[in-house]
Amino acid sequence: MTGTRALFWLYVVLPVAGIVLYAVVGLAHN
Amino acid sequence: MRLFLKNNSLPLVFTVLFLISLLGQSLAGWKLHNDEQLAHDSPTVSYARYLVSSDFGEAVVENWQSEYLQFTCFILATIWLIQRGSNESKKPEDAGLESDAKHLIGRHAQRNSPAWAKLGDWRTTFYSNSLLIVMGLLFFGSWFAQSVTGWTKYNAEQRDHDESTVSWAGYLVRPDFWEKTLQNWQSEFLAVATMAIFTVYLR
Repeated sequence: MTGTRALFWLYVVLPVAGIVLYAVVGLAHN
Repeated sequence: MRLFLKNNSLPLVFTVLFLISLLGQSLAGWKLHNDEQLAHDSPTVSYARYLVSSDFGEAVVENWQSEYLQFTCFILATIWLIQRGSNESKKPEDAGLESDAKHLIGRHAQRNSPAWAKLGDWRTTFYSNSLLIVMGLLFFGSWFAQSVTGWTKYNAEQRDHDESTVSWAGYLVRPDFWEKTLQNWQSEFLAVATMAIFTVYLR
């Protein structure tokens, strides 16, 4: 169950990290 | 370990496919980007720099937003809408919001239910809609990231052609933003409708 929970959090953290990264990239380079 | 792989094979296989595809996209995108730079007598960029460029970022998040939109719409629509005979749909008599008893929340929560399922206040309401809320937030977040990376790319091209740049709000009403948005949305809606109707007749 711990591994399943880790997978759940991976799929929360992964898109949030991507969204924050590219929002910052877009805003910083304009 | 073997039990973990067996119990979680569906997301694990798709995680591997996701990473391979993302790697392939980044390598092909990097090559294409540098080919275009050379064609315009502009300097090329390293792979690491390309990974944190608006060019790559927009290509990634414009697809993400439409996938999260698909699931947000699917979760929301399948509360009330049905396709009789499809295993993607509820039964017609189950259409509509489900009871606390079926969701095992509030006074119907069980001993091993999450804490927020038991409280019976706004936190229980949040918990019972959490899949829709989180999917919706990821959709709006990735759509926002698409808008700012697309805006940066758009203004860079405007500068290259000695044309005037636009504000972020100005970019949101440009055909460039909506063409990229809607080309992804139409394919998601087509896929959902196809899956709903195909599963009635095909096995």
